[in-house]
Amino acid sequence: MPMYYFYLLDYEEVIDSDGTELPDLDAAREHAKQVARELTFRRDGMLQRGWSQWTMSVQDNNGQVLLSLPLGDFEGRSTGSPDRPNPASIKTNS
Amino acid sequence: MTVAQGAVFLEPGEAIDRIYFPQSGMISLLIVSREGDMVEVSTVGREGALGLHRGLGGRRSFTRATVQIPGRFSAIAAHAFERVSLSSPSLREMIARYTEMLWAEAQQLAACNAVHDASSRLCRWLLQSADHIDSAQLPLTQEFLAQMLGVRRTTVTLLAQELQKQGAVKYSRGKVTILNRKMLEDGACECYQVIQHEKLALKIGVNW
Repeated sequence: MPMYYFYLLDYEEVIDSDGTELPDLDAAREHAKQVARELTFRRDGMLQRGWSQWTMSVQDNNGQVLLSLPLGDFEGRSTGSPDRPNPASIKTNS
Repeated sequence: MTVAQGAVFLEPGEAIDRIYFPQSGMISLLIVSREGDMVEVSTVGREGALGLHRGLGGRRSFTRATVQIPGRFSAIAAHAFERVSLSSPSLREMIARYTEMLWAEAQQLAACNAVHDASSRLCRWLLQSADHIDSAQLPLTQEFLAQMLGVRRTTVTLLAQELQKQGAVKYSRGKVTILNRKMLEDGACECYQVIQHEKLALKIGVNW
């Protein structure tokens, strides 16, 4: 199975250099989305910068970028059922 | 005896036939779903013992008890422990207090797992583990941390990288070293302080 490497980028990089073995690019996309949901769950950003500034990119063994997910797209999506108030939207930026 | 990481002392439903006292190292109490996912509901370190409530009579384990940080453990046969406990009201009182503390911790962690973000829980988890084994060096793989927190290994790695960039921890393969406790305390959810408070109350024997 091919290795996929998940990176977070704004003007800094946060890298998973160990990589993850996954069957194909579809599986890598699903993995990236799940990690994005876990990272953004009830959290406003990383390293003092909001999620809208971060992109998750998936690269292959040769460093070629296969796909990019703007993390801003995930804000507030991972906080439970839609009929409940979204805690991320209630929470003040403390 | 010295016990390695991943050793299982008890499975859910199993009769408790020995009580384990960590001298160093740490035990994790886990609920395992039918699909094989695990969630940690409590931890046992030097301050406590595994299966202590067996001193009150025949008991079964609610959880899987597994060694999370390897170390030295002492064990006593359950029937011998029960005999001592039956003749010692103060020991029974201690068992009751410890069991209450575990209950409080499990309730806190149930809420924590549902409502707190992965980074806060990671900070809380690193601090608790360091307290349990009284060391800033934690022999933990990221796979293991991911399992404890119920997230993907990639998520833990990225969060650990963030903590490392901030100077809170240093991560090398299979080992996390806490460099700045204060930063982790600031990053952890309130659950760390709440559980610490419960443990301290147990240790000094006060009601609050």
